[in-house]
Amino acid sequence: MDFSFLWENLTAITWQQLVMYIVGAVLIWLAIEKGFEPALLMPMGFGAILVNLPLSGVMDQVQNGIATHGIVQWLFEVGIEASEALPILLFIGIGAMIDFGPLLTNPKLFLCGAAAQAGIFLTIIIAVLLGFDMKDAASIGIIGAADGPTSILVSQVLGSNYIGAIAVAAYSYMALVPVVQPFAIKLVTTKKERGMRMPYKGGSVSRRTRILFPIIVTVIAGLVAPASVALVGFLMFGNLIRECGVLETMSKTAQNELANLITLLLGITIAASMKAEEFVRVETLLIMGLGLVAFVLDSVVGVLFVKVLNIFTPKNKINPMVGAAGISAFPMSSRVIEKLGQEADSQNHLLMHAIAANVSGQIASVVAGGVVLQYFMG
Amino acid sequence: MNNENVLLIAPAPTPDEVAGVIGGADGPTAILTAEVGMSENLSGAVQILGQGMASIFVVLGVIALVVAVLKKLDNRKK
Repeated sequence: MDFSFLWENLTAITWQQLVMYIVGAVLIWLAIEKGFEPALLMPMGFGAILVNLPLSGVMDQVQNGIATHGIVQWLFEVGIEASEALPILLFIGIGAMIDFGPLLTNPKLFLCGAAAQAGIFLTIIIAVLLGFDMKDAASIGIIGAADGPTSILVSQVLGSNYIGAIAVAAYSYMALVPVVQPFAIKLVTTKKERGMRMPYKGGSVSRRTRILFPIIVTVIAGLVAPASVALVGFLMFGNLIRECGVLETMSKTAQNELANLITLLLGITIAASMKAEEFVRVETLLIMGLGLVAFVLDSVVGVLFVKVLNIFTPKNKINPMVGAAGISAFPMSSRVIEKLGQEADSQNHLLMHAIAANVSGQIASVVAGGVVLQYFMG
Repeated sequence: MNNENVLLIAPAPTPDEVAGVIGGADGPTAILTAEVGMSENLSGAVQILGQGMASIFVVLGVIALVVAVLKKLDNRKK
């Protein structure tokens, strides 16, 4: 009797697949041991191993003329490739989680969110200089949106060849914000600047404003950048469910069950783009490097923007670090700013201001995603 | 029309076209063709920077203004 089938697949493993098992193991280790974005990195790490087993049954295969359909490939084709449904639906949950109250009490901080998106566009230029074509460069730059679903959606719509690497970079650096941002902020601020105090006036926001806000944002973003409507619209739809006050159960479902279920599926589904032959190449390392550059540039430009703004509004100065919170990585970035502020002055409390800039970054990053798509559609 | 003008109005070459030019075994032509593609991409990237940042500032700036107006209306009611 021939038992060669037992080790046939073992000998079929390529060195690139071995690399992917290591990548998968590292992602799982980061998720479990280090607590880095576990909800995403753990399924992605497991998925990276799953799709790279020889003739893996989770991907479509043809053996001896018999075609089998793989569940992960099907999920990818239906949930991401055909409709971008998974990343878009996740925005309902994210919108339902966000309290825009601190931002609504200090609308000036909307500008911080806008400025901190500069890293996206500067990284696109660098990627082009490194030889990536425009669509791949734009997909890589959007890692700087610090927003995983936006990165996946833009790279998918633009047909980038590097979706897997971009998703890994986006989620890894979001988890690494507490390491990346202090470095970037300290590059462009003095201890005195970091210690600058900002009184928090607080104040309540009326129910009418909270309800009108998501509708206004959707209409304005839709008129200026129509391609952003899918992203902004679903983010704001989730927020309207939260703020309307009559859909309490739905709001909780969106924040918990819906967000968890989609996150779980998104993580394992994106692994379909992590097949060894597509992932193990020099460009993946370049993309990881460019993702880091995008995060650093976001933070640096955010800080510099506030410094310039302070020249024009000397009576109402903002701590420059709050500008760096304009990236979308919520709430890690706000915590980083609070910690750095207290390191410079133990009585300095910047958390509420940083949260305001941070949620502004949530809106700005999805608008940025839409604007990038708009450029290629127009 | 001289050759220079033809080059300037030509669309950016795809990677395959550049590879084809390399196949022409003409070094200077290959370098020039690749450079035209790169400079077109670069000007596109600079254009995205300008358009992108302008759009984001317009969207968030208008939202900030509307929110500021709503806030004033709220304060007046109180």
